[in-house]
Order: sequence, then C-alpha cells, then structure tokens
Amino acid sequence: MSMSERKLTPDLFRPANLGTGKGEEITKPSLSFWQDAFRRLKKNRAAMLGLFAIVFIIVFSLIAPSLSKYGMDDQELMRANLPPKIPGLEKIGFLGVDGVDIRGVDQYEMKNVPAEDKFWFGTDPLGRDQWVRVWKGTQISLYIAFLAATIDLIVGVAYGGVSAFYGGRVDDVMQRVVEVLVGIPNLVVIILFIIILDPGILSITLALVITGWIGMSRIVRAQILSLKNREFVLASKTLGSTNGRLITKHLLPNTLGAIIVTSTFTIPGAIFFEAFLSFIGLGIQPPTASLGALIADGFRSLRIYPHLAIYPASIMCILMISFNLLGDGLRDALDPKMRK
Amino acid sequence: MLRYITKRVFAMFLTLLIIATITFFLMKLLPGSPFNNQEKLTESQRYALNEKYGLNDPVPVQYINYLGKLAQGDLGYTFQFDGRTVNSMIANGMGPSATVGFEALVFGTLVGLILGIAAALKHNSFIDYGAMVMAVFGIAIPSFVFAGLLQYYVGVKLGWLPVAFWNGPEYHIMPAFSLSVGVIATVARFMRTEMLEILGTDYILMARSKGISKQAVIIKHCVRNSMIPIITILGPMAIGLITGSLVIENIFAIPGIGEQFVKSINLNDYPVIMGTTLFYSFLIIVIILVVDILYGIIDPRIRVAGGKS
Amino acid sequence: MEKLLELDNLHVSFQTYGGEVKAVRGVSLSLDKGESLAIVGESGSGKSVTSKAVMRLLPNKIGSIKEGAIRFQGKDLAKATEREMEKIRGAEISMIFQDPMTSLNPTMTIGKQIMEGLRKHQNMSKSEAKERSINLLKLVGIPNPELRVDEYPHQFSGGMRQRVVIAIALACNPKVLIADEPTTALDVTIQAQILDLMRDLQDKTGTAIILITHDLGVVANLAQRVAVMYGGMIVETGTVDEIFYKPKHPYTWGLLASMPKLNSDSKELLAIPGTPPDLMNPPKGCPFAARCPYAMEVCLEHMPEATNVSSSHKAACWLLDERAPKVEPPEAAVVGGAR
Ligand SMILES: Nc1ncnc2c1ncn2[C@@H]1O[C@H](COP(=O)(O)OP(=O)(O)OP(=O)(O)O)[C@@H](O)[C@H]1O
Ligand code: SF4
Ligand SMILES: [Mg+2]
Repeated sequence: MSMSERKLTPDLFRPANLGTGKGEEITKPSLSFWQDAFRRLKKNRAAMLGLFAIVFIIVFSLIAPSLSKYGMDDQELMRANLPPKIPGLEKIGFLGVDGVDIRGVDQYEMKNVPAEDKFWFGTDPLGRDQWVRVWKGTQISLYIAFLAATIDLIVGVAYGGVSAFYGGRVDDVMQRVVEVLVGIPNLVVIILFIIILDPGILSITLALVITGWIGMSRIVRAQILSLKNREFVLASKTLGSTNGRLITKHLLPNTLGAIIVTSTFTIPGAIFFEAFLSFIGLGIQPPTASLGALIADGFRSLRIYPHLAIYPASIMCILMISFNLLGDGLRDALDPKMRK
Repeated sequence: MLRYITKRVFAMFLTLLIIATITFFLMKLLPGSPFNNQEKLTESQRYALNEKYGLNDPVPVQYINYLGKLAQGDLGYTFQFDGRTVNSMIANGMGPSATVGFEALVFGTLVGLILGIAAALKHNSFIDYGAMVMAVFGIAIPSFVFAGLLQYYVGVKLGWLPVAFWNGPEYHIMPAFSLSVGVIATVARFMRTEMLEILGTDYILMARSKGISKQAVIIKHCVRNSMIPIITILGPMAIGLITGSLVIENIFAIPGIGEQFVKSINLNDYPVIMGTTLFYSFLIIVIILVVDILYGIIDPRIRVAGGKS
Repeated sequence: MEKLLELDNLHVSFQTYGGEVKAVRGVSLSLDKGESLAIVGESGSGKSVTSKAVMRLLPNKIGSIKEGAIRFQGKDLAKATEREMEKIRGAEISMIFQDPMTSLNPTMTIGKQIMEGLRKHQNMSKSEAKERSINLLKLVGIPNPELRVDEYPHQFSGGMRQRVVIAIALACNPKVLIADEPTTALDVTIQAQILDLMRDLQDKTGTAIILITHDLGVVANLAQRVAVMYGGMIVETGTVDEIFYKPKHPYTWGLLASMPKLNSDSKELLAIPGTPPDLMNPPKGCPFAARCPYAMEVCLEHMPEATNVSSSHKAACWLLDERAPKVEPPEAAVVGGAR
C-alpha cells in the first residue's frame, strides 16, 4: 500500500460524482435488427462475393446479347461449330480462345469466316452465336428461377401464414393436406407434370412451384406459431390490435428473415431442376434455350466441341455457388439459429 | 413405437395410391393412344393392339385393372420391345443402378465424415476453410455438370479412365465419384456442425475432466455422437442420388434404371414412365420411412444431447 | 502448513473478435487439505473461468492463462504439459458441472462413463471397474445400482444424474473437487439432498472442495471459507463467519442484502443495481466503483489493494483506508442481527 499511498491526497477520498448511468455510456449504441444483420452480411466476404457475382451475371445477361450483331436464332451453316475467338486474348494460348479447334485447325481460316466476325463463345452446330445463346439462356434460367421463387413465396407465405394464424381446425386440415403432398417425391411430380404439359418456360415454372411452396409454408408456419405466443404479440393482441395490424406489424416482419433465406435457397434449387429437366429431355425446347438446355446439348458433342458446354456450365456453376454463398451468409446474418 | 410404424406404413400406402392414381389419370389425359402415331399400323392392327393392352375398356375399368395389377406388383408391358414387362426392365437396370448408387453413398459418406471431422477439429484453420469451400462447391454444382466435366477432362483429355459404358470396375469410378460429390459435401458440412456443437458441450468437458486424453474423447464421445444424427440426412441424400443417377447413367451410358427411364421419356413409352415413376416413389418413400423409424429407435438417447427437438 | 492448492495472481484472457476479454485479473486463493472453500459472485464474475483454468480446460486457442501460477502440491499447473494434466485430472482434481442434464454423454451407459476414469487412472480391469462403479453408485445413494449401472442418462432424473456426476468425480479419490454451481439447475428439495450428499462424502473421503455458487445460502451450509469475486477479481476473502457477520466490502454487503432472509418477513430481494464491468475494457480503478454507493474519487482511478482485516480476512476496498470516511454496512446486509 505504501507505494500508492504517497500519491493519494486526502481529497480523493470524497464521494465520487458518478452521474447517472456511467456504466451505460460505454456500451455501444444498439443497432436495429436489420442494420445489425446487414452489417454482419457485409462482413461476410464469401456472401458479398456471391452477391456481386449474381448482380454481375444478371446485368451481363441483360446487356451481353446486344453486343453481338447476331440474334439467338440466326442460323448460318457456313459458320457452324466455330471455336471461340476473343479479340485481344487470341495470343494467350492456354485460354483456348484463338479460334483453333482441338485438332489444331484454325476453323475461322478453314471456313473463310470474314475477319471481323469473331464469336467470343464460338458457334453451335447450326452456326448460331453461342455468346448470344449463352447469355439469353442465362436470362431464361434466371427468369424461371426467380419466377418459381416468387410464386413459392406468395403461395407458401399465404398458406403457412393462414394455417398458423388461425390454428385449430383450419391448421389441422391444412397440415393434413401438406403431409400428403410432402410424402410424394417432388422429383416424380415434376417429371409427370412436364410430360403432361409439354416443356415450356411456364410449365417448367409451374412444375417447380407445385411442390416447392411446401417448404416455404412449413417454415412460415413454424415461425408464426412460435411468434404467436411471444409476449409482444400477446401484448399487442390484448391492446386490441386488429388481425391485419398484428400480421403486418408483428408477425410478418419477424418472419421476414426466414422467408428471405428460404427464397435465396429456392433459386439455385430451381436452376438445378430446370437443368435436370433439360438433361432428361424435358427441358425448354429449341430454338429457345436455357443454361441447362445448352449444357445438355453441349455435353452431346463434348469431345469435339468442348466450348459448347464449358461456357454455359461455368456460368451455371458460378451462379449456383454464388446463390449458395449468399444464402449461407444471409442465414448467418438473419437467423443464426437456422444454421445447419 | 409399433403404433407409429403402423400409422406410417398406412400413410405410405395411401401416398402410393395417390401417386398411382395421379399417374394413371395424367397418362389418360395425354392425347390419343400410344399406337395412334405409328403410321404403319392398319386400323385393325391398332384395334388389336389396343385390345391386347386393354386400352379399349372404359377408363374406370382400366383404372381398377391397373390398380389390381399394381397390387400384385405388375407394372405392365413396355411399348419398346414386344412382350417385355416393365418389371423385367426395372429388374435388369437394378444391378448397375444400385451398384453405382451404393458405391457413391459409401464413398461419399466416408470422405464426407473424414472431411467434416478434420474441419471441426481444426476449426477456423486452413483445413476447415478448404473443406467448407469444397462443400459449398459440392452442394452447389449439380452432379451431372460435374460428371460431364469429369468425363471430358479425365476421360477424354487425360484418357485415364474409360469415358463411358459398363464393363468392369474401372468403369465405376467416374460415375460413382460424380454422384458422391453431393454426398461428400452434405455429410462434411453436417458432420462439422454436429462435431462443433458437441465439442462445446459439458459432457465433453466432463470427459476431459476425468483425465481422458483429447484424442480418446474425440473418438469415443464426439465422433460417435456426431454420427448418429447423420441418419436424418440419409433420406434427402438418397433422393439426391436417385435424381443424379437419372442423368449420370445417361452421361456414362450405364444400362441402369435411370438410363431406361430417360430413354422411355424420349420415346413416349408410357408404361415404363409410369412404372418407373411408381418404382422411384416407392423407393423414396420406403427409404424415408426406414430412416424415420431408425431414428425414432435411437432418438430418446439423442434428444437429450444437444437439446434438439 | 503446506497448501494443497494455491492460485497466485492468476490472469486469464479470451481472444475474441471484439478484442481481449480479461475474464480473470489477478486472482490469488489457497486451499488446505480437506477444506471447503466457496467462491461466490454474480454471473460473469469469472468463477467458472477460474476453475476451468485450474483444470487447464480453457477453450483451446482462444482462452489462455496470461500470468500467475497454479500450485498444486508444489507443482505449477499453469506450466504443466497436457500429458501431466491428464494424470492430474480426475485422479487428483475433479470437477462437477452446473447442469447434470448436459454433463453426461447421452449415448453411453453411466457405468461406462464412471469406468472411463477408473480404467485410465487405476489400471482396473473391466470387471473391477464395474464393481467399483456399482459401489460408487451405492455411495451416492442410487437405488439398485447393479441394474442402473447399465442404463443411459436419459433414464435418470436430474437429481439422480447429479449424483452420478458426483460419483464420476469422486471415482478416483481426488484430493480436490471443484463443484461449479452443482445445484443451480436442480429443484430446491433436490438441492438440499445434493448438498447433504457432498458434505457427507467430504466427511468420508476428506476431499477438499471448491464450491462455486451465487447462492450464499449454499455457502453457509457447506463451506468453511469464502472468496467473493467481482469483475474477475477476488474482492473479499474470509471465514464463513467473517464474511457473514463482519463483511467489509460494499459488494459483499450488496450480496448479503440480496440474500433472502428466513427470519424476516419481507420476501423482496434487494438486487444490486447496475451491471458488471465490461471485461474488454476493465475500469482502471475498483471494478465495483460504477455500482458502489460509497464510491470515492480515488476508487475510479486507483485499484484498491487487498488489506488484511484479520489473519484470515482480507478485503480490497478503499473504505478500509484510514483516510476514508467511516461507513457502516447497510441494515439489509446484516445477517441474523449480530455484528
Ligand atoms: N469462451 C469464452 N470466450 C469469451 N469470453 C468468455 C468465454 N468464457 C467466459 N468468458 C467471459 O469470461 C467472463 C467470466 O465468465 P464465467 O463463466 O467465469 O462467469 P461465472 O462467474 O462463472 O458466471 P456464472 O455464474 O454465470 O456461471 C464472462 O464475462 C464471459 O463473458
Ligand atoms: S473501493 Fe471504492 S468503489 Fe470499490 S468497493 Fe470500495 S468504496 Fe466501493
Ligand atoms: Mg459459471
């Protein structure tokens, strides 16, 4: 005690003026849930990378087709099966974008393609510009996926919400229906549905939705059921809130996190199934093409014209990975309990 | 437990009946008889064929007959070959399909377990991040895209493995591996989360406080307990394998059920489509039922573990 | 007399994303053979971290002993290797955790869980270990031990499980038993049974006990000495009588005041207002200053040092300085009216 004693003057032994809540001053300002979630998401580098790639691919799929003077279905057998040739990158051998095919023949020279014609992703067996087809296909795949996710969301939220909100008999009946539907493998439903309806953008989307909404409805129902009995909802109820107000002010905002996360995972699921259908011959019919259809076609001539499959496959992989990364990030940011 | 199983088996048959009904009527909705578009048939030949396959009866009669045959496990005749039954086609394809599926499941589970355990034990290390990046790739990239790329690079470009067909063990490697990628990723992720959760429980601390070495605690307490809930993802994984096999058998030209199914879709061979659809439904429903029952048997001990409901 | 266990200026920190959490900041304690010491303090004061540090079971990588020594029978555990610690854990020092529902492995029979330690430390054969497990279960008051030894934890009630945990901890006759809130998760009646059991076993085996709790009622029941922890530090230590009847630290006063009194008719609990200090940026001066009704300017800037009140009683508070104004403990903190 002797050391410190010397420095201490008696006047220090007066009651300290602590003021109010000195302890609280130091604590961080509390962020709202959404600000906090957004901050956590921004910190997640993988998720941000995914988001960036998704935005990039969406924007690019919209503008890229107009960079070529050819349309999606402009056939010209004279320039069929040209390997990719990208001006500027031609000199870099290992990229394989110099217009030389796998046998080492410069197809552009052989087929007397005018010098100004350079097909960045090559051409298909009908001489159509792959570049245009790939990006148009990306558009279509994304369109189907977003449409399916949106319908899933609307149907799922409505069904799950009504079921949980009214509870009792209504819930019982609605859940029996879901139980039966869940028992039917969605693989089977989707295939049957497409066989009947004939493949097209709309029928594929419908086939995806017909089983897809169930997952969303179950999540929404579970969330709302657990919220329904929480204090703040009960309090608001006793204070005479109308049902509409209860749903829009309390139940939906608190379920939104789970809804967003589920939707984010629906999209890659839809892209996957659309591609899957193309592979088993039930995909989008020519001349329209989705990413899946392009890959499926490309795989048929993979040995001779690898470029037909490689580009759409790469874009599809990037999209799928990006949506998964973003979904994981959103889940961690919005609802840490949902992990796994 | 017995009541639960009875209830579930009953629900299973109900679901199958619904699927069979839907399949039947959907097929009836399709325009015309399957023989109508075969130009070379004369009117009387067509009538005889329709008669032979019972297609001239009123629809309700056809439906009852169909269900009756189904109950005996008879899936009808294919249009592709004269006189061959759908049953025999499925039986023929079963061998290769089951082999690839089984190999993929076993290999995928093993590798996934190892990856997941390693990632959890080296949490937040290079190994952890590497394994999880691989897992995201494995979950995101469809097995058939992966299969195509593998076929091109390993089969065509490098020539290390046969590109396609089904003539011996080396023909299994690429298809089984492509199919297993999703399994590896799912199991690795699941195992890692499970391990991390259990590593943080009191009973692991308790075991360590007894003086048991870290390695022994990890093997005897942690890995064992983490592996039990893997049962719950077996169902979804099996469905993933079946889905993947449809395409992968095509890519690698494996004479399995999936390949036949896709072929019959392209040939409008409805009995085979219907039969295989029912077969797949049956398979998937039975797998899910078995998994649920299995888990129900082990459940009381698990329920306490991580407070999972 | 040689101390059995002695903590000397122990510092423990956690490396977190937010920064370094200084959970324990200079704890010194000692424990004699067969003695029972209680550590009390509110949530987050560092009690569990201190006990895990003694067992060297701090979470790998993020938790570490920054400074200080843990001397057990003359050996510094803070510097012991993992191998050496494995020999000590369970055999010399054992631990019981707060929640018996989670401290047993749900997929292993309780017999196996008791046998694990026995086989490791005492080289028993399987049958010997099983025999001893049954005896231990009998000792902790489990009926039909021969049958129950092969059952799984979920077949036991909470109180029973805590008995099993105690059996596991005492299996190898350790010299020190650290019980981290052994009764918090249990019903009141079961709590009393478990405490009785622990006292009983201590009489039989002579094991020294470190009892961690925030329940002063438990302390009075079981302990001979008490250490009061706050903000990662020991603010007051003394015998049970000294702490209960002659407390010197305002935080101890607060704790005593918040204790429900059997002989008073007021059922209301006096909680200490405010929250514990942020251990990421601990205050320079007295950790309790922000909540202390007697805080002086000196308290904010300078750390009070442990001052001897008697040979067994120490407190770290500036009020004990002769320059400080004389303060009497508040009415509510007086136990049983005697002073
Ligand atoms: N693994 C950890 N990582 C980061 N901080 C930790 C960790 N474990 C404990 N802490 C911090 O150490 C401090 C002391 O925790 P400790 O568990 O020892 O409290 P306690 O006194 O046992 O409280 P309780 O009565 O609630 O058990 C707390 O502020 C806590 O935030
Ligand atoms: S040192 Fe000061 S602030 Fe700390 S307990 Fe004593 S009087 Fe209160
Ligand atoms: Mg604690």
